[in-house]
Amino acid sequence: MKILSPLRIANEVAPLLAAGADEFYCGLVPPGWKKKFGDAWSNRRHPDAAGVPNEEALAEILAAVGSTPVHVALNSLHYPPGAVEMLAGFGTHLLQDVGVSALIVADTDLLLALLEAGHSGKLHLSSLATATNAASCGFFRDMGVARVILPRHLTLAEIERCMIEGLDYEAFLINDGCVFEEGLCATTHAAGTFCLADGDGLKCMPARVLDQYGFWKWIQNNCGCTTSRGFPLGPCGLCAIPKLQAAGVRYLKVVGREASLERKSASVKLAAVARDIGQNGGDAQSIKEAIIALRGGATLCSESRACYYPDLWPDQRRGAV
Amino acid sequence: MGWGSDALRDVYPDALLTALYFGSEFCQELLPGSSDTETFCAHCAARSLEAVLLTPIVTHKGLGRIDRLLGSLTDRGWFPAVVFNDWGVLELIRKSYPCLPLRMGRLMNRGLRDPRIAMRAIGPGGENTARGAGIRKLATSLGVCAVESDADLEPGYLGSGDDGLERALHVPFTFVASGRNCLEKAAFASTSGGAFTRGLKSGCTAPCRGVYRREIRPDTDKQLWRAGNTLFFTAPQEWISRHLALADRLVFHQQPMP
Repeated sequence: MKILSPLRIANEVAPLLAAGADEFYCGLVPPGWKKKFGDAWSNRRHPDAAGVPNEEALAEILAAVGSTPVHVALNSLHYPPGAVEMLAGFGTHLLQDVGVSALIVADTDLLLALLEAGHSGKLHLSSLATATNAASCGFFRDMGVARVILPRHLTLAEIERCMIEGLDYEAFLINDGCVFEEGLCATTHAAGTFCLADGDGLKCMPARVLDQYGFWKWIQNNCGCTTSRGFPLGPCGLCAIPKLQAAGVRYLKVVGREASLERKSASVKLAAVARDIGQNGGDAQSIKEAIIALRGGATLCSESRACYYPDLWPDQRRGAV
Repeated sequence: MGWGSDALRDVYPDALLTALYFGSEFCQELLPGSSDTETFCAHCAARSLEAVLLTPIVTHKGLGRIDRLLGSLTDRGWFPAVVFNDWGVLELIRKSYPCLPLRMGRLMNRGLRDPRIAMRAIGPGGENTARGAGIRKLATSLGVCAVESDADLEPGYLGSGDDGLERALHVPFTFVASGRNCLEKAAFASTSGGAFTRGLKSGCTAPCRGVYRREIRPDTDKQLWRAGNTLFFTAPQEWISRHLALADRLVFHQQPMP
């Protein structure tokens, strides 16, 4: 199984490779985008905080990675008039001239434009496109998509049932949860993260439910902290690696393009440790023990509170949040 | 709730009722059973109304439910139009139930509906009906007969009508966000827990049916509503008015429904 790491600049390449990254993904805003489209985002993450600064910086990254694949996300859910045409041209340039391995796309019009430009086989379907069943995955495979990035809120059993021949699958592994289904959230982070205040002003809902909701949202937001050893807390699917592998998932996503290098490296390191245990025959429990020993934060694991794939574990107590 | 049926009558005093919508666009747990669906279809047939079944994004479980539902209906001679919001549902119908009219649902329009943001000003050339041209062309090539949306921030997704798709606008509620971690489900869970972290695998008895709650946020003055797993707002009349010129059909919701 391959570990995908986020990155922003070439200086991050060596430490992330050393930590265990097998592939990279990043965001990049086309030249002239801001002048033409203002504050609209060309991909899902903040262009300044999470993106590669410019095309020269991307060239430096590509020079540093050697043969390691680098994918570029052009995965906003929606674009202003004229943006699809610009991004289709930019995507073609990235694939044909710059040497990017693949593009990560969510918007159907952009996907169609890139397919029409002849990039079948070099397109990854973003989780934002919400392919949640085998028939949907088959639809996109037949269009020319090479890899489906599965949405966050699928169980392991549901992931198993998404598998079809002729398609690669990538699954979320660690960091940065979403309160809503990301592809069905019609708000923009450019105006602030909408979901963080969701439910706070809800009328006539039992207080205990809102308390649990608040706690769960806090976990999705990475608990607002790291462990004392510098490892991330928050959504985590490391223990599910053996199951994901058995299901047919070949790529594991470490989330957090805008994170510091330290956080990225720590996340990739955790992922690599878990992946290696899993590939050497270790089970979920042995991964869990190794990760807790390395990272700390045992409490978070004790009741599956932070699990991306909580159906991995049997219910351990009634009332677990 | 603001823009209600009276206001609709003011705009369209002579509007004819032509279709009845049922089902769910937001939650596979809310898909009706075959008996209920048959009752809807019979009700529509008796009144010469088109029966339209709404379907959501689904997992294999939901897809199986839709397959069984449509199999049962077509076996018994009922052929409702189906609104799909999942390409897998489209594929199922094209392959197994090609006689059913297909309508592309509002979740296929991933345009912004952020209640904190003002609607974009109309462009010099009018509404941008080029937006969504690709997906509409794809839909047409796949035999889809209609495109649907609610009032988003940039009118134009429904197109100019030149692509041959009927255009339907859902009013007055626009969805903001939806997902599988459902507050209503959590409130009615037998144990308090698990509804958020472990709730994905647990079943649901659909306690949200008929329930909607007001939600207040300091960062928007729009009327927000929580219904089941989905957050809606009442679209301002100006928003709806901007979309009306692009719609051939209005789908009126009496209350926010997932």
